[in-house]
Amino acid sequence: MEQKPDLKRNRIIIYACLCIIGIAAICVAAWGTGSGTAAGSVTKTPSTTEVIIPEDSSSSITYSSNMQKGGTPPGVYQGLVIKDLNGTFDPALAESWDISADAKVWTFHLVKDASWSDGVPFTCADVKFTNDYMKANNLTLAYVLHDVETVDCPDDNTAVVTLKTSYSGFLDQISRQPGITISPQHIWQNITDPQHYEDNQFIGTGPFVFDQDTAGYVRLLRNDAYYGKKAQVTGVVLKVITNPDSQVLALKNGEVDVVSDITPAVAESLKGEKNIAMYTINDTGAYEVAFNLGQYPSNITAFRKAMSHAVNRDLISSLFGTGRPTETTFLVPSLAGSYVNPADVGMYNYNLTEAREILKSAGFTWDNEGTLLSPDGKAVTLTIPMNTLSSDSNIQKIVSVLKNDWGTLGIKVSTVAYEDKKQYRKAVGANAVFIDSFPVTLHDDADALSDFAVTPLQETNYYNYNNARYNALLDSIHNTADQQAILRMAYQLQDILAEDIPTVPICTSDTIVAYRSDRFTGWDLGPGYYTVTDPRVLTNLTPVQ
Amino acid sequence: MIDGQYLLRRIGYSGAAFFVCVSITFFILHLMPGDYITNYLLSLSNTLPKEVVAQFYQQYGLDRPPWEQYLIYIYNILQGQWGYSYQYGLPVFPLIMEKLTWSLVILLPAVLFGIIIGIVLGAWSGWRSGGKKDLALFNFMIVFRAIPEFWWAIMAVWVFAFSLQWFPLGGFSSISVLDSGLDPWDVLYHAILPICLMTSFVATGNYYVMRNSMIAVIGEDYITTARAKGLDEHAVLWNHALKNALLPMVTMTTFQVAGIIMGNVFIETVFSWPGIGLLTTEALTMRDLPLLEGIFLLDALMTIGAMLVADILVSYLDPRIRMGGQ
Repeated sequence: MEQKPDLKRNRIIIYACLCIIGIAAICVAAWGTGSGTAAGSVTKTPSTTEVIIPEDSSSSITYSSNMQKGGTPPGVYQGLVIKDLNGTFDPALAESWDISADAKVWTFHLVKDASWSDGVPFTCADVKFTNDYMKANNLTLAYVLHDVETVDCPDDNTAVVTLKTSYSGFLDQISRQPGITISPQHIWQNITDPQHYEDNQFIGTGPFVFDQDTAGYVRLLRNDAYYGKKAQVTGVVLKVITNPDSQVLALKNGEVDVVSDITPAVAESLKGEKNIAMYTINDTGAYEVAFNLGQYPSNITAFRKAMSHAVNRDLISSLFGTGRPTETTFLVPSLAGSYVNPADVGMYNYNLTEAREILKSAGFTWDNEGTLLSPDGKAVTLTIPMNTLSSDSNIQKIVSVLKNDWGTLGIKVSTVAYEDKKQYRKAVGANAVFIDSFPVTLHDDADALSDFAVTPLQETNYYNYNNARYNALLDSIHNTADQQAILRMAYQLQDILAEDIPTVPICTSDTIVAYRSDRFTGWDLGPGYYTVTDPRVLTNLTPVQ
Repeated sequence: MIDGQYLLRRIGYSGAAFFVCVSITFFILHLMPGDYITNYLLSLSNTLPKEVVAQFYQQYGLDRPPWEQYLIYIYNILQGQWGYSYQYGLPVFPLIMEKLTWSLVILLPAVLFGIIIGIVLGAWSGWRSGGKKDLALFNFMIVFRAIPEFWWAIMAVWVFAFSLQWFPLGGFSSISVLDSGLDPWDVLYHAILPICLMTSFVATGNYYVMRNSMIAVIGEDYITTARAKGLDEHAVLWNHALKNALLPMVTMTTFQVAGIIMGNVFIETVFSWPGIGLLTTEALTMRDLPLLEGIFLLDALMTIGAMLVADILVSYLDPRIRMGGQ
């Protein structure tokens, strides 16, 4: 009788052992197969002419519809122009353009030998179709074309865009990220539900053509029929690596050729690594102390003026480890170039004594404990809203420096964290001071100064700033194509900002890029090329022999 | 034993629980601060005209009152329509299924191995509780569990993938997939390291429960009786103690299996594994409501189903438990 359970038990043990041995054998076989061939091909012998770039997320590479969310993947779609450094524009599908004197009619002369990657010629009809189709189907990016009244095609190679109102910043509007890319009429005209259409062809006109999206990889091949400068690499592979640390390890292992946006600490650790070189793209981000003029005490000009001398931008910039202090009223010199008014440079110098004097002359006082009291006797306290979803640790550094300096002026500064952008924006509207970070493309030309304007289309602005003279000047800028007049008026706008101080620019930050120097050269094209997937960067790459 | 009528009633209650879960989930998700439109549009521009913003709210149906959105949602669910993801623009159900499949590739074997290893080690440790080997294993498990999962994951990548290069750094296939298609061996090769790690985490949790359950069981009278009858220690362990100590594990393991649906964010992030955990995090960040609703809908379905299965299993395993009837 005792034999039966023993036999049963032994049988279970034998089955379990067999299962474990089987699973172990499968794992060993997979390990052998993987390390010997498939993975070996990644780590040891990547293609010598195909560049591999990591991506944070698969959703950032491809969307169901390029017309809905912008021109992804990179290098496949093109717009009419592409924004360049110093507020100028490179030709893309438009080789040149003319503007009417009132900046209302824009005539684009299209490239003549461009074709879609399926061989169909590109014509003005595609430009007109893109505008009409996006608006008719309420696609997300149609708002960018909100100002466009009509697109006419006098011939295949000319597109005439007539705006509802004059707008000299139109090129900036259609080329600023994500911008408007032109879509092929012959593909999209048959699609009745573009918002839910899954594009798996990605027919574009760019220097690269879409090949496939498989198992965490997207491959683009060189477009040999491209009308412009052809790429020297045979293709680009975008590989999904969600963890930034793994991206750096993959670079060291040679699984990827470049990693962008690494921290200064990681950059330091990569120094001296064999076959890894680094470069910095200057001024890709910028920061400001912004005032909400609708809230006390930011509604007092003297208070804002005093605070403009209480921002230690040198210290903050040094804490960032990259970038440089910004001494202008708003525009970033390295990108805005001649648009920066030299008369207003350096006027927000760091000087706490001067800040204290300005406050004193405006009627502010201090109690026995050193707390700053407003002219009506109330203690001045500030709450700075913080967006915790933002992974930007630089804002924390700014706040810690401000807390210290403004504390010595007798101002108690506290912070409140918000996990959601909507709540954060609400808090920005309810508090006197906030810290903002933004891409420098928003601070690179005269049109960027419209951030402070109130117009029929923009009833208010971030800063609750409303100056009639400022608004009129900006309207004049929009109504002329005369560059000299635009420059002159941009200077006047900056003079007004210097007087009213709705914001105090702090400093910029840089993007550090590390790449495999034994694989490709030509990554560093200088300032203005914000990402390593910029088609101009990708077409500039040369395989190392 | 389980009574037939009771089972039918239990299934009916499960359906009602599912409906309540779906309703609560809907309203909680809609009460969350922020929405997709704000998140997305703010990433494009700070100063969009009001009518443009209003048009987007209308387009996504977010301009309607919550109760109306709820009725449309329930109607669509009953029609088998799970909606479209805001972020991806794709139908929610196939999107979830695709990611869930990839999660299952690592989580299913990890949970199964973790349950088996946890039960075996826990039973052995509980049987020998107080001994040197038990204490050594128990303390090792405490240390292992006390260190966060993501740290182990990062260390595993560093040691086994980067330094020793035994395994890939992440992803679920090699770049050769672009030329030769998906190779199951290659996928398994990429899955081994995350599976091993997940197995370890699951095993430690099960180990504690099983050990404690076993310690409680070995003090019972029927164990003393079995020993008094002259049965050897192995027979007492396998035929009497283990079977009874397993009862608390049944409920726990059914929940673990149901929990697979939510994936594992840490493992999926560190190993760039395109599973449901990463998808959920992304959807939460972007406030992609249709996608979140779909994920939670499936989670509710799995959890309620698992509870039903646990009830049936427990009544089958323990004849003393009688559900339903008199």
